[in-house]
This record gives sequence, C-alpha cells and structure tokens, in this order.
Amino acid sequence: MLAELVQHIVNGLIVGGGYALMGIGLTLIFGIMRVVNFAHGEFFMMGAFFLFTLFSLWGVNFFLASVLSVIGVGLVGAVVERVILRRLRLQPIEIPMLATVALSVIIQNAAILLWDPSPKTIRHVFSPLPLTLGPIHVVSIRIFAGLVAVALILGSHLLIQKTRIGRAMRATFQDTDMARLTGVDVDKVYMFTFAFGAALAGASGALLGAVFWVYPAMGDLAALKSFAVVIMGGLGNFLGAIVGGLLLGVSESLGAGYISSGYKDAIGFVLIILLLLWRPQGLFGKKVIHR
Amino acid sequence: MKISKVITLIVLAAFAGVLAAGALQAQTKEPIKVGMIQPLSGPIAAAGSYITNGAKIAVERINAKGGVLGRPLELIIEDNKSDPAETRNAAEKLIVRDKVPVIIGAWGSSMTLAMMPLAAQHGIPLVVETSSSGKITDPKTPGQKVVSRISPTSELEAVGAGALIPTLGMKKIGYLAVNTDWGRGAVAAFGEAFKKNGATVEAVEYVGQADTDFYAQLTKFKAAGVDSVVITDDAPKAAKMLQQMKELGLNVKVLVTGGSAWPDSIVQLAGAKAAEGAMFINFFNPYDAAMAGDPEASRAYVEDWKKKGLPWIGVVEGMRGFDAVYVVAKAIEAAKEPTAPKIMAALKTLEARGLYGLNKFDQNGQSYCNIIVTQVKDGKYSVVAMTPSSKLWEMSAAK
Repeated sequence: MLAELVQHIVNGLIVGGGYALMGIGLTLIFGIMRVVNFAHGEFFMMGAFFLFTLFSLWGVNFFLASVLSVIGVGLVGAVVERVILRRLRLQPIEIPMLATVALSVIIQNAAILLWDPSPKTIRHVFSPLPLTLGPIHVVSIRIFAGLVAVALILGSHLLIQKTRIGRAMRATFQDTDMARLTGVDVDKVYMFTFAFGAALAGASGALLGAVFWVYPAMGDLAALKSFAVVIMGGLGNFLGAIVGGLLLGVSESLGAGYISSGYKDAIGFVLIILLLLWRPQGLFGKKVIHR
Repeated sequence: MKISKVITLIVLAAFAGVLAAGALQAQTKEPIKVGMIQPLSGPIAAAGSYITNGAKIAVERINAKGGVLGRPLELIIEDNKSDPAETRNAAEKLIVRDKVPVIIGAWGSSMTLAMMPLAAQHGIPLVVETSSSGKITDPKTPGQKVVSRISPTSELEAVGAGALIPTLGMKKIGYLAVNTDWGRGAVAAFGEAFKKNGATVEAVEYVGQADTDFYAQLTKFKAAGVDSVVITDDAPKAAKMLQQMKELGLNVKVLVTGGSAWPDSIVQLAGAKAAEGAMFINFFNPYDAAMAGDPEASRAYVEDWKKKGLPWIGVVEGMRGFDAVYVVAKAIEAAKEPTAPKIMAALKTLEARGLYGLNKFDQNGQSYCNIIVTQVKDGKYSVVAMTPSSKLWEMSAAK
C-alpha cells in the first residue's frame, strides 16, 4: 500500500518536473513581455523533434544532440520574437496572443509535413530495464529527465538572480519604462526572454519526448498543462511555476491512481478551480491593483 | 506583319481548341466526388494518414481501370483534427460546398457519431471504415439509417475472439481503454465475453486520447495483482503501455483489441522485448492474401503499399480506407448514377468481397468481417486463430 503510494508520488514528481520547466518558460514570457504564448506547446514539440532528428536520424551523440536541440529551439524563439512579436509590442495584448495562436497552427502543420504524423520513439542510450528499490520501479531515462529538470530549474534561478541579463530581466519585469531609462536594452531583454522561455519548453519536450514519444500534436496537451501550472502558481511567478508543476504532476498521478484515471486531466483542473477560489491571484501571485 | 498575324490566329485557334476539348472532356468525364473524413492532425493523425493512403491506392487502381460508370473517382479528403466537433464541420463542408454523394469516415466512434445526424438530415450515405462502437449501428442512434459499416463492432470482435478466451489463461484482468465511445463500448462488450468465459475484470482504467504516461493505471493494476491486461487503444499508445508495463515490472498476458495495433507495429514502436507474447485482434493479414475476402485485391494492395514506400506499420490500418473506397465504387456501379439516394439504396443490397472479408450489410447497416487473433512470437508476426467473415455471417443468419 505504502509502496504504491510512493510509486505514484515518484512518477508524479518526474512528470511534474517537465511541467515545471514548461511553466517557467511560459511564466517568464508572460511576466516580462506580457505575451500569452499559445505556441509554447510547439516549442515543446520542436525540442523533441530536433532531438529525434539529430540523434535518431543523423546519429549525433545523445547528450550533444539534447544540448543542440535546446539551443536550436532557443534560436527559433529569438527569430520569432524579432520577426513577429517585436512588431506587435505596442498592440493590445490580444494581438500578439493571436499571432502565437497562428504560429502554433503553422508550426504544428509544418511538423506534420516535415516528419509525417506517425509517432516516433527515441531509442535513447539508457537501459529500458527498471532500477528496483524494493517495490519501487524507476527507469533510468526518467531519473535522468528528473535530474536534468532540477538542474535546469536551478540554472534558470541563478541566471535570473545572479547574472547581468537576469538583473535586466528583473528590472524590465518590475517597470519597463524605468528599466529603459536606466539604460537597459529592453529589446535585447525581450528577445532573450522569449528565446530562453522557448528553450526551456524545448528542453522539457526533448526530455519527455525521450521518455514517451515524439509526434506533431504532442504540444497540445503539454501547452494546456503549462497554462494550468502557471495559473496555479500565479502568473509571472517563477517559484509558483515550479511548485505548480510539481503539484500538478503529483496530484494527477495520485488522482489517477486512487480516484479514477478517466478523470486524470480533469483532476488537475479541478485543483486549479479550488485553488483560484481560495487565492484568485494564484499560489504565489501578488494582487494586482490597476492604476 | 502578315505572318505574325497568321501565327497569332493559329495560336488563338489552337488555344480555343484546347479549351473546347477541355470543356468537352470535363462534361463527359467529370469525376465522381467521394468525400473522406479522417484525423490528419491531432493525437491520432498517424492512423488517419494510413487510411487516406489506403484509399488513394484504391482510387488510383480504380481510375487506372477506367473509373466508375466511365468516370474517374475523385477523393476529397478533409481533416477532422481528431475531434468530434471538427468532424461535423468537415461533413458540413463536404455536403454543402463539395456536394459529395457519399462520405467515408471518420475513424473514431465519437467522431463518426458526431456527423451521423447531419448526414441523415441531408440523406448522404456514410461508409464507416474504422469505428467500432455498437452505438453507430444501433437503430436508436440518430442518423443510424444512413450508415453502412465495414469495420466490426467491439461486440463482434468479442464474439470472433470469444472461443479463444478460455484457452488464453486470462483469469484476473485489468482493462485499459481509451476514454471515448470506442473504448467504453469495447469495455462493455469484452467485459461480457470475459465474464461468460470465467474470467473477472478486476479493474477498468480509462486514458485520455493524448496521454503518454500510464504509470498510474499500471501501478494500480500491479497492486490489484492482475494476471493479464486487455488494451483498447491505437497502436502507438498500446506500444507505450506495453513498454511501461515492462518498466514497472508488470509481466502479464496482454490482448490488444480494435484492429489498429498489430505485431509488426508494436515490435517497431515498443521494441521486440516489450512486444514479445502480446496478442492482437486484427481483421487483415498482410502476409497471407488467402485470408482476405478477395485475395487478388489483397495482394495488389500490399504490393502498392510497398511500392509507394509507405510506412509498413500502417499497412493493416490503411486497408480500411482501401476497402471503403471499393465498397463505395461498387455501390456507385450498382446504382448506375452517382447520387446519394441511389448509392444508399445500392449499399443496402451490396455484396463486395474485399480485404475485410465479405462486405455486405445487415438490416442495421453492419458488416461482419474476418477476426484474426495474432501474436508476437520470437519478435515475429504469427497467427493464433481466425474466425472468417463467412462464419460470422452464418452465425448471424442462424440467430
């Protein structure tokens, strides 16, 4: 009984790590740029497809291929910001939002044309046999995915708190005009933020793509989950995205395990509704007073 | 000056001639439109793409032999995005804008059910190629009267495989099904069949269409101590479930229903180790043409599939599109004119040997196809048993 519980929690935490990565990317983009990125799931999907192409098709080393995929998605993100979002920055919030909806449709259909819609398995370098800790089974690729997620979350935290660009990001987050007046290159911050957020989604996609499988529509559910994570944690809140991601992963796993798996996806959303009733600004969100 | 004028005239005359010839040809050889709705994007896009490829092979073969009623067939393919609401939109577009006299579709039971009332309202016959929920051919369901279904119901699958159940040694079953009309229908039908044969279904778990992680459900099965797992889902998800069963150390017997997953696809998607021993309910054997209702068509279809370089794992799914097009073509041939009411009437009395077996329709519009139980043995395709289409027709006549 206890073993089953622990197994559910372990499963939930590993998947939750992926959700958290997605959530951080989304929340940074929203917090700093005020862009609701509906193409976030497609960056997730691209990360997985880049890894599949580099590793499974071209035979690049698995770890190198993973790094290159994440960088690749970051570059696509930078181009999207420069070519599309920068032109729309002064428009009302729904205009860039619609642009990302369009982008999501275009990228997903491009993926269908480029890679065909059949699901692909990434035959990664880890053993398919589980590691057994008493009655608990975990495969090494999942442990790897969990550890990398933790490392990336910590890395993102350090980047935002300790580096020059991180300081510029925080300044832009607090007050864009003031940041610009003190000499922050806001254009650069926006471009970096979007590329970084996209890269985190790509990393999550590459990790979960290796654990599960890779297909053009894989981003749909992931995007939905990451919105849930971000809203739960408080829009624009870094810590909120982490806690929200883990919370969603574990509650889904426990809900599916003990209540009903038919409602697995619903459980996460019921949780959100309850949470928002209690704290409308999200777990860690601050109340916003409109001026 | 003069010469250039002459040249201009000649060119103009030639151009007019080409136009006239084109118009003439269009008048006499205007293609017969056939609507097709499949999931070409979304989580089950792979299955939809296989079926449209199968349908295209059939159309090419038919047109190469002069078409139907002397006119070529033209397939108009719409994407339902794996979504019931989009299926209805696609059907509306095909009926109202393209004015197709017949529609093939729409893979998933929930999707097919969504477009049936609309098709009935416009009197457009539907040829259902994959869906297996019993509801579709239930006279109480709105729109049932326009349906001719060549794919089997889950009940039929259970009947076809039923004789085998006692020999499989399944006693305590965990049932893992996709959370749609298809999955829920199959759980009811197979639950019944298992109960009759002395096995108990210990736990039923439903999974979302786009789910990739089944640890929670499988962990539950493990705790319940099941000795076998029955799966109703498409091939990619069934493969993932098998893989994750191995990862969690759940080593039990597996039966996959529905006909979309088959040994070769699971070996490729899950790896030979995870696939070993798994059994499948299939309706078509690409390795043995003699099993099909029309062996020659079966051979030609598999040959064309290979020649086009299409993914081999899709050949068993693609057959549904191939057969559906032939059923439509034969119905148009029998109807003598490509209009919806005539085609509908022709379908009622049609008897067409195809890859599924003998395609003809009972009073509810249901056909009875071959049911083949297959298994991965030493990483290879093998047949466990088969109930031929003809036997099922006999059984139903006896009833």
